[in-house]
Amino acid sequence: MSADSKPLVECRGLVKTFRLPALAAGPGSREFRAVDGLSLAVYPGETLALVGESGCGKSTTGRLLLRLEKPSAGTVTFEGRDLAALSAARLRTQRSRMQMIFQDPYGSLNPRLTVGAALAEPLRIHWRLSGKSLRERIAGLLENVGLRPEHARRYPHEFSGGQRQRIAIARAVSVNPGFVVADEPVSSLDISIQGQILKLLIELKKSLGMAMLFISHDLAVVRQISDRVAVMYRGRLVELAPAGELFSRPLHPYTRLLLSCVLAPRPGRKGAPPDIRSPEATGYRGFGCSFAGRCPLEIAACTRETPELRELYPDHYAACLVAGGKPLPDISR
Amino acid sequence: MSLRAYRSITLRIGLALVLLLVLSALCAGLLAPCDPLRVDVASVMAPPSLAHPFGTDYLGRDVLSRVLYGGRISLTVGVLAVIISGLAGTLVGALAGFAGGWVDEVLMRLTDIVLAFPTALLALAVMAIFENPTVGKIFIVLGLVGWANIARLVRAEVLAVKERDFVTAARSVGVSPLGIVIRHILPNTLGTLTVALTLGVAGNILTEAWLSFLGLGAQPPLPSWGAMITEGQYFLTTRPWVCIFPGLAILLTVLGFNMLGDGLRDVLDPRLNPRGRR
Repeated sequence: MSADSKPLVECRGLVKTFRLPALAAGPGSREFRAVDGLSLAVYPGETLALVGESGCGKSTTGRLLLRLEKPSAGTVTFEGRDLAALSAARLRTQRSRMQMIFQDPYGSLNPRLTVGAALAEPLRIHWRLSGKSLRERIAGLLENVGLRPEHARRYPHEFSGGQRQRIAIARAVSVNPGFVVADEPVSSLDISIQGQILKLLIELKKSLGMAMLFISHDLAVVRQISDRVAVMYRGRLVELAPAGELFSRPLHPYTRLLLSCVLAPRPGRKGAPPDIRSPEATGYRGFGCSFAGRCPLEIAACTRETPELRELYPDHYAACLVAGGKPLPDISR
Repeated sequence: MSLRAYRSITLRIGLALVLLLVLSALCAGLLAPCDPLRVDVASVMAPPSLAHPFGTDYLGRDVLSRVLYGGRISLTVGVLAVIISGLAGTLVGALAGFAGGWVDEVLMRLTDIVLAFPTALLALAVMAIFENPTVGKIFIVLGLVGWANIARLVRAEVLAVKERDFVTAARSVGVSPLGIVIRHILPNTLGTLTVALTLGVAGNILTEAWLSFLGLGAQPPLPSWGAMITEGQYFLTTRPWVCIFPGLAILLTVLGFNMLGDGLRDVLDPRLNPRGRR
């Protein structure tokens, strides 16, 4: 997106630490930094994909942006307003502008509410609809996501996974939010259903003009849907670039590693497998590149200096001391 | 639910027993051959016969009639006490589980205190405070004693349900905390709660029986099963029917409610159910 338009959602220096139970923590730190100083902006109407391996903090970031969790440090602003400064009641009003789609459509719908009752909730709260106008809106929403109006009377367990995800999507877009966080919305679905749901998301996004944070670990899916891609590793952003640029010219060694896992369709082929050294314990050292120790391009400076995101090409940022053909001089030798 | 309900033999037997008892208690007026309070000096301690199928007690009252009317007392006390403890326990448990923090801490320590007392002692103490114990006071006492278990259970369920995605979804939609508890969390604890309440009825009937046995429950001449056993205990070796029939009634009732509760657990517990089927 162009740098001059104003961001819809923006976070600065976002940190979320979780306290580990004493036994799981092992020696040293009892805290786990799921998100570690993340700054990111989502612009109106764009789809920003957030990718990374499981446990890297993608989902936590999504929840922090919607203030479903409180950040340990840092700020989240929505349309210029600091979400932390809002009262509980004001925040609930604000929620009509920001919605979420969950990974597991079996868990995200209350089994005791009919589909109609689930869809009615946001409409009653934010639009104060009732009676006929409410029923009509629900029928319209169900049709928009490829279901039938009479499905409103049924319970979630009467639907397949794909249909449930359609219902969850209908709920998320029901009050025309400007921003939706989609947390791995297709990864629990069959491959054949994934395509349909993705198509639906793309269509809805286009017709409603909303911005989306699309959280995924599946780069093939990300490629189809996103305008920009942000790559996360251990709670930090390591690369941020327009989608086409990222796939054609990945800069960060971690991004390259991720891409090499996707783009090798013939597993039997000869050639060196990507060099994946097993990650060490996830203790936070507080300095140095988090990918150091696993990185094929590692230089001595990587364990001492924390790389910041640098704009190596127009709109293409990477947090790596080595990437971009401009290695920093190694002072130690 | 229907398929599994039919498959669970425990549930069917339990349901049959409970229905039989409820019906016989409701229709006691029609089924009982005599007035349960009518004293007949001519046939004191008569063994079971055609006129008195369960025999008569030391005042010549018909044991069958007294057992039938006694069912009314037992079932009323059991059910009313469960309603009281169910409401109080759900309120405390839901509040503790949902609010967390110091609210949870205070409420749960209070629950621990109630649970730390032996039920018997607590019930005896409270009943003794009342100057003249009556049936109406028993279920209040049982309710006061029983809420703690329900509160613990509801709290645990609320803690589990609270973490599920649809609760987060409700929050992200903008539902108020009260709406989340009432519409999203509590309905999803109903399965477990139903089981606990059914088992609670059995426990309460048993407690009422021994409280009456100790003279702290229903007072003579009211036909309470526990009180009937007290009256018959001195003749147990020579005139066993005075004790045996009310004893059997207690046995069958408690067995029936326990089997119903266990059966309901089999049917309602989502962990035993395949995904999505209720």
